[in-house]
Formats: sequence, C-alpha cells, structure tokens
Amino acid sequence: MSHENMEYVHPLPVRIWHWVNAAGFVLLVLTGFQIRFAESLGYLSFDSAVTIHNWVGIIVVFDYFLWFLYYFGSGKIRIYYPDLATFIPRMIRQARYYGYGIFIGDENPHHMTAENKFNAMQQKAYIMLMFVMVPLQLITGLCLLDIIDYSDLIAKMGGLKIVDTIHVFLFYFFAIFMCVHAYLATLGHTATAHFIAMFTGWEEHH
Amino acid sequence: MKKKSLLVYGLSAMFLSFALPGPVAAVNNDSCMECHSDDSLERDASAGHSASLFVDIEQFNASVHNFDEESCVGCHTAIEELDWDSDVPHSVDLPNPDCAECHDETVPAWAGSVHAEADVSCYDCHNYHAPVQVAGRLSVAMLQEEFCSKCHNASESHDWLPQKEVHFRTVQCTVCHAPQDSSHVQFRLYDVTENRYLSGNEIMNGLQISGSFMANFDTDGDGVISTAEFQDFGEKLRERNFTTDIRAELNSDDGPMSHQIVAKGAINDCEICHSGDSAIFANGRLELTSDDGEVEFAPVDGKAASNYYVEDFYALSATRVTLLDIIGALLIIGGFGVIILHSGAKKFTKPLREKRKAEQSH
Ligand code: HEC
Ligand code: HEC
Ligand code: HEC
Ligand code: HEC
Ligand code: HEC
Ligand code: HEC
Ligand code: HEC
Ligand code: HEM
Repeated sequence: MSHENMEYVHPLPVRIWHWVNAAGFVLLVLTGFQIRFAESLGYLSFDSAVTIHNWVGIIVVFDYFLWFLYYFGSGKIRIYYPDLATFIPRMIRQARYYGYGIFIGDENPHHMTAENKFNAMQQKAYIMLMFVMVPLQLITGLCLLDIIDYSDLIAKMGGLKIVDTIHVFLFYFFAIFMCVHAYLATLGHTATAHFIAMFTGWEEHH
Repeated sequence: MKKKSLLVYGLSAMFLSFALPGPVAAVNNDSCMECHSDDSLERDASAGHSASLFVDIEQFNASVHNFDEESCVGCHTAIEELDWDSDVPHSVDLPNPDCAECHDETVPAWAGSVHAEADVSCYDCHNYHAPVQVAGRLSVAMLQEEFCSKCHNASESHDWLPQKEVHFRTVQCTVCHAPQDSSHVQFRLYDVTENRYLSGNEIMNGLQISGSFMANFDTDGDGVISTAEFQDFGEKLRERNFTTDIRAELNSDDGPMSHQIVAKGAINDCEICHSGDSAIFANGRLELTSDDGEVEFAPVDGKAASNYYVEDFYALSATRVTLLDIIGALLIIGGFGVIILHSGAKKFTKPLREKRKAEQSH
C-alpha cells in the first residue's frame, strides 16, 4: 500500500483503546438496558446482565487507564487541549460546516493530521468526554460494584440514589452519543473512510 | 452454698406460710420470686436444661409477656399451687411449658420448617423469659443479630448472590427463606446524629403537626401514602431540619408464616425483586411506633422507595426513577432526530453538491 496521500493519525495504543472502549460501551449499554428494564426486556437474564456488566465495566476501567497513560506518557494529550486564542472562531466555522457547508459541498475547514487530529467541536466534546463524563461514569460504576465498601465515597457524592442517577443519566447520554458519533464518522470523504482509519491507523488526505 | 440457700428458703417459706392466711389460692409472680430471684439457686439434675434457676424479674417485667399480663404459671401450668411446707414448694419434674397453648398459629407454621426437623424449638430462638416484641419493630440488622446470625453465618454461603452483604443488610432472611410469607417495604426514620430509629412520637412532635399522621399526609384520603404524598412528607422533614435518613428495607409480614423456613426453595430468582413490576414493592409501611411500645404503621405505597429522600436505597430496576427515564428518552429521541434530519438534508441536497462539483471541474 502506498502511503503518499496518507497520514498516520491513530497509533496502535489508541486504536486498541478505541475499539475495546467501543465494544465495551456497546455491551454496557445493552446490559444496562436489560438491568434497568428487567421486566420489559428479555435478551439476557438479570443475573447474566449484571455479571457481564460488571466484568465489562472493569475492562473498560483498565482501558481508560491505557488511554490515560498513553496520552499523558507520550505528551500527545495536547491534541485534546483547545488553542484558546482561536478556539471560538474555529468552533463557529466547524458548526457552520456541519450545519450548512456540508450540504452544499464546502470543504471541511479542519484537516486532520497526527498533531491536529480533532476539529474544534471534537476538541470541546472529547475533552468533556474524557475528563468528565467517562471518569464520572467509571467512578459511579465502581461505586455501584460494592456499595458497602465504597459507602464513604457514595455518601460524599450525595448517596446511592444520586450516584445511580449520575450513572443512569450518563448511560442515556452515552447510548445516544455513540449513535451520533458513529453517524458523524460516516461524514468523511467516503462513508467508511474514518472507520477504516481507526483500524489501520492511516487517514487519507484530500 | 446451694444447701444453705435451700435452708433459707425453706425457713422463709415456713415463715410465709404462717403469715399468709390459709392455703395459697392465686399464685402470683412475686411468690415465685421469693426463691427464684436468688442468682445462686441451682438444681440438682439439670440434664439438657440450665442449671441455674435464677429468673431475672426485671427482664421479665420488661418483656412482652408481662405487658400482656402473662404470669409465671401461665406457662408453668403444672404448678397450680405452692406448698409452702416443703423445701421445694412445687414438683421438680415439671413438663416443658408449651408455647402452643397461646401461640396456636405459630406452632403449625414452625412445625413444617427445617427448624422443627432439626429440633430448634421456640425458645431456642426466643428468650422464653424475656421475649422481645418482634412483630414489625426490629430492623433487618437487629433481627439478624437477635436470631438467625446466632446460629448461621450467611456470608459463608450465597456466593451466587452479587453483593450479598448488601442484600443481608436490606432484605430480611425470611423474605427469601420463608417464601410462603408475604412481605413489605418497611420505612423508618434513622437519626444519624444519635444512631437510632425515631419513635412515632418523636416524628410527630418534630414535624410540629397535630392530628394523626394519615390525616396530615394522606391528602387524597385513600388510606395509603402514595409516592406523591410521600414526597410531601420528605419535604416536610427537610423543612423541620430533621437530621434523619429515611431508610427502607424488605421485611416479612407479621404473623406466624415467617416461621415456615424451608430447606430448599428459598427465593433465588433475581427478578422477583429486581423488576419494575415486582410485587415485593407493592406494599410498604412507615413505622410510627409510640414510646410506650404501641406498634403503629402508616400504609405507604412500596414504590415510594424510589423517592430521592430515601437516599441510600436502590433496588435495581424495581425502584428506578421514572423521571430520569423520561429525560433519557428525550435525549435519545433528540439525538436520533438530529441524525435523521441531518442525513435527510444530505440526501436532499445531493444534487446541489453534484452541481457544484461539476461546475468546479469545468
Ligand atoms: C420456696 C422456694 C421456691 C418457690 C416459692 C418457687 N420455687 Fe421453683 N424451685 C425451687 C427450687 C429449690 C427448685 C429446684 C429443685 C431442684 O433442685 O431440682 C425449683 C425449681 C423450679 C423449676 C425447675 C423445675 C424442673 O423441672 O427442674 C421451675 C420451672 C420452677 N422452679 C418454677 C417456679 C415457679 C413458676 C414458681 C412460682 C409459681 C416457683 N418455682 C416458686 C424453689 C422455689
Ligand atoms: C412464656 C412462658 C413462660 C413464662 C411466662 C415463664 N416461664 Fe419459666 N420457663 C419457661 C420455659 C420454656 C422454660 C425452659 C424449660 C426448659 O428448660 O427447657 C422455663 C424455665 C424456668 C425455670 C428453670 C430455669 C431456667 O431458666 O431454665 C425457672 C426457675 C422458671 N422458668 C421460673 C419462672 C418464673 C419465676 C416465671 C415468672 C417470673 C416464669 N418462669 C415465667 C417458660 C416460661
Ligand atoms: C428459627 C428461630 C425461631 C424459631 C424456632 C421460632 N421463632 Fe418465633 N420468631 C422468630 C423471628 C425471627 C420472628 C420475627 C419475624 C418477623 O418479624 O418477621 C419471630 C416472631 C414470632 C412471633 C411474633 C410474630 C407472630 O407470629 O405473630 C411470635 C408470637 C413467635 N415468634 C412465637 C414463636 C413460637 C411460639 C415458636 C415455636 C413454635 C417460635 N416462635 C419459633 C424466630 C423464631
Ligand atoms: C399463656 C399464654 C402464652 C404462652 C403460654 C406463651 N405466650 Fe407468648 N405471648 C402471649 C401474649 C398474650 C403475647 C402478646 C400478644 C402477641 O403479640 O401475640 C405474647 C407475645 C409473644 C411474643 C412477641 C410477639 C410479638 O408480637 O412481637 C413472642 C416472641 C412470644 N410470645 C414467644 C413465646 C414463646 C417462645 C412461648 C413459649 C415459651 C410463649 N410465647 C408462650 C401469650 C403467651
Ligand atoms: C438456635 C439456632 C438457630 C437459629 C437462631 C436459626 N437457625 Fe436455622 N437452622 C438451625 C439448625 C440446627 C438447622 C438444621 C441444621 C443445618 O442444616 O444447619 C437450621 C437450618 C436452617 C436452614 C436450612 C439449611 C440447609 O442447610 O438446608 C435455613 C435456610 C435456616 N436454618 C435459616 C434460618 C433463618 C432465616 C433464621 C433466622 C430467622 C435461622 N435459621 C435461625 C439453627 C438455627
Ligand atoms: C435473596 C434471597 C436470600 C436471602 C436474602 C438470604 N438467603 Fe439464604 N439462601 C437463599 C437461597 C436461594 C439458598 C439456597 C438453598 C435453597 O435453594 O433454598 C440459601 C441458602 C441458605 C442456607 C443454607 C446454606 C448452605 O450451606 O447450603 C442458610 C443456612 C441460609 N441461606 C441462611 C440465610 C440467612 C441466615 C440469611 C439472612 C442473613 C439469608 N440466608 C438470606 C436465598 C437467600
Ligand atoms: C428478595 C428480593 C431480592 C432478590 C431475590 C434479589 N435482590 Fe438484589 N437487591 C434487593 C434489594 C432490596 C437491593 C437494594 C439494597 C440497598 O439498596 O440497600 C438489592 C441490591 C442489589 C444490587 C446492588 C445494587 C446497586 O445499586 O449496586 C445488586 C447488584 C443486586 N441486588 C443484584 C441481584 C441479583 C443478580 C440477584 C439474583 C441473583 C438479586 N439481586 C436478587 C433485593 C433482591
Ligand atoms: C458506557 C458505560 C456504561 C453504561 C452505559 C452503563 C449503564 C448502566 C445502567 C443503565 C445500569 C442500570 C442502572 C439502573 O438501573 O439504575 C448500570 C448499573 C451498573 N453499572 Fe454501569 N454502565 C457503564 C459503565 C459502567 C462501568 C465502567 C462500571 C464498573 C466499573 C459499571 C458498573 C455498574 C454497576 C456495578 C451497576 C449496578 C448493577 C450491576 O452490579 O451490574 N458500569 N450501568
């Protein structure tokens, strides 16, 4: 394969993290629905849903550490930090593109490179995701794994009901986030381009 | 030591028999305590029974049997009168008191149980001289400490049950182990600064309301505190600065059936409890027992356990908060709405883009 027009954007640890996380989240959402609506859904028994959810949850926690160690260890975490001077205009440009330009055939104002992987909207979304939403989901999930051992932490967060409410609210958020995320991923220069890139690591330039 | 005390009692009995006019007709508790308040009194042959013949009258007086004016001879029926002329004023080969004489419904419920088969009798569990009032009064933790955990260590088994300690803390053993008995969600107010449950009087005084609990909170008058009415109750507690948690647990219903503990066939199906339409969460009650021990309850919809004021209770699926699911549904509908509109618009504008592309390549 010739890599002339290609740029290596997703190093191996990122690809591993991404797909383990994606598969994990899909399983967590599916088992999560079964746990929450036990009487209406029946694709798993309550017992197996709980068991699968717990194990996958633990895998996803380790996976988060992989992401964390890789990005901080390599210093690449910078790609998540928005450049504050240009952030707002870039963000507006990007939103204009998705809401209008994309329909009339404008070019994407953002060009993906390894150093500048995310567009401004992605930066804003991903920094929230990876530093707030995902950790909160993992921490509340860990608390729920043993509500007696973690009762102090649970009390600090406002009690079991609140911890569960956070976990469930984020569950709905992730459930729909993943769909939107997958849809946005089809908006590359071809529908499958971004998907293939996340497997091979190489993104084609245009 | 024992000989001496017998002598003393013999003498005092003799003295008493002179002091009392004629033969003793009614045998009251005080007359038994003439001898049985001595903590050194022991019997000769005590095979299978306690050697000590001491009876703690203070404990007895504080027990439910005394409250209901049951007497020593109400159980020790073989003693019809005391013969103050002899050393031992009654027969010493007494038959065991029979609880069934009064608790005639409990005995058949117990009779079919694993405990009857294992010769665990009424008074292996209940202190015969000081049975505490159990029905509806003791929390799951207290019941375990007082009863089951004296002989069983449930933590050694139940490995199939995730977070078993959570279940033991919140689900009374008999809810699963006496499956014929019905159960309810028991709500109590726990004072976190004083580490104890509040009595009905304390709740009513603290709320500064007059009239009965139901008259105040059962606003629709249907005889049950609904989930909405429970919310009002929670708000009122907060207004009055209660330092309490509202606690919820699953308790067996009162009555004899909780004695029917079976060896096999305890509840092991999660979805009996963990499902949105679980019958286990149909009925509930709030304990309002008064200071003098009068047991009182306000009927509450068991689903009120899903209320945010019941901070530390969450039974997966069964007590989920519906509002949260409505918000979730809106999120999901909104997200799909955006995808559908956006992809629709892309399809619709395809000719535009093709036209532009064609122009550009010119
Ligand atoms: C005058 C003293 C005295 C009085 C009064 C007395 N007891 Fe006793 N009781 C004894 C002695 C002494 C023994 C132990 C006999 C032995 O050595 O087995 C005894 C034994 C017993 C036992 C054990 C019997 C057994 O089968 O081993 C019971 C039960 C009992 N008493 C109940 C009562 C009750 C109930 C009363 C009141 C109605 C009462 N006693 C009044 C002196 C007394
Ligand atoms: C609820 C029924 C009940 C009442 C009421 C009751 N007893 Fe007993 N008592 C028992 C039983 C059951 C035993 C144990 C029999 C055995 O040893 O298996 C017993 C045992 C005893 C014994 C033998 C020592 C012991 O503790 O095992 C004495 C003495 C005695 N009772 C005295 C009294 C006196 C005095 C009173 C009144 C203050 C009283 N009992 C009230 C049920 C009762
Ligand atoms: C294995 C221990 C155990 C044995 C044996 C036992 N009980 Fe109980 N009993 C309990 C417990 C625990 C409760 C409280 C149940 C509840 O609140 O749900 C209770 C409750 C009661 C109550 C009050 C509730 C009701 O049934 O109205 C009575 C009365 C009672 N027991 C009498 C007896 C009698 C009589 C016997 C013997 C036939 C007996 N118990 C045997 C453990 C036992
Ligand atoms: C003479 C009648 C009588 C005998 C015999 C008797 N009881 Fe009771 N018992 C009562 C009465 C009356 C009450 C109070 C009403 C009630 O709760 O059932 C009571 C209450 C109780 C309670 C508390 C029930 C509750 O509501 O919490 C227990 C436990 C109990 N008895 C155990 C025993 C045991 C064990 C025996 C046998 C050693 C026994 N009783 C023998 C009359 C008796
Ligand atoms: C006084 C001791 C004692 C108390 C208190 C007691 N048990 Fe038991 N229990 C026994 C004995 C003895 C057996 C039969 C022997 C065995 O299997 O362990 C038994 C058997 C059982 C079994 C069947 C066990 C099996 O291996 O199949 C269950 C379930 C049980 N008990 C539950 C309870 C519950 C629930 C309570 C509390 C309400 C309780 N027990 C209180 C002594 C007790
Ligand atoms: C969620 C329901 C549930 C709860 C709560 C529960 N158990 Fe069990 N327990 C079971 C089941 C199911 C079994 C397996 C035996 C059967 O099928 O009945 C069992 C087994 C047992 C056994 C026999 C253990 C063995 O070694 O085989 C004992 C004893 C026992 N339980 C006591 C308790 C006690 C004491 C408590 C309260 C602290 C308790 N259980 C709470 C459901 C429960
Ligand atoms: C008898 C009713 C009952 C049965 C049966 C039961 N549970 Fe539970 N479970 C509860 C209750 C009540 C709670 C809530 C405890 C609390 O919040 O204090 C609970 C809590 C839990 C929790 C912890 C909740 C959290 O927020 O993390 C898990 C996990 C769980 N159950 C799983 C199961 C599984 C799996 C089964 C079947 C193998 C099962 N339960 C069977 C009543 C039951
Ligand atoms: C995308 C990530 C996740 C989603 C979508 C998700 C979703 C859910 C849902 C919907 C429930 C049911 C809650 C209820 O009914 O109120 C639940 C429960 C639970 N979650 Fe998660 N979860 C996720 C991640 C995790 C993680 C990472 C862990 C652990 C490390 C975890 C542990 C738990 C536990 C312990 C419960 C209680 C039930 C059980 O023991 O399985 N979750 N989750």
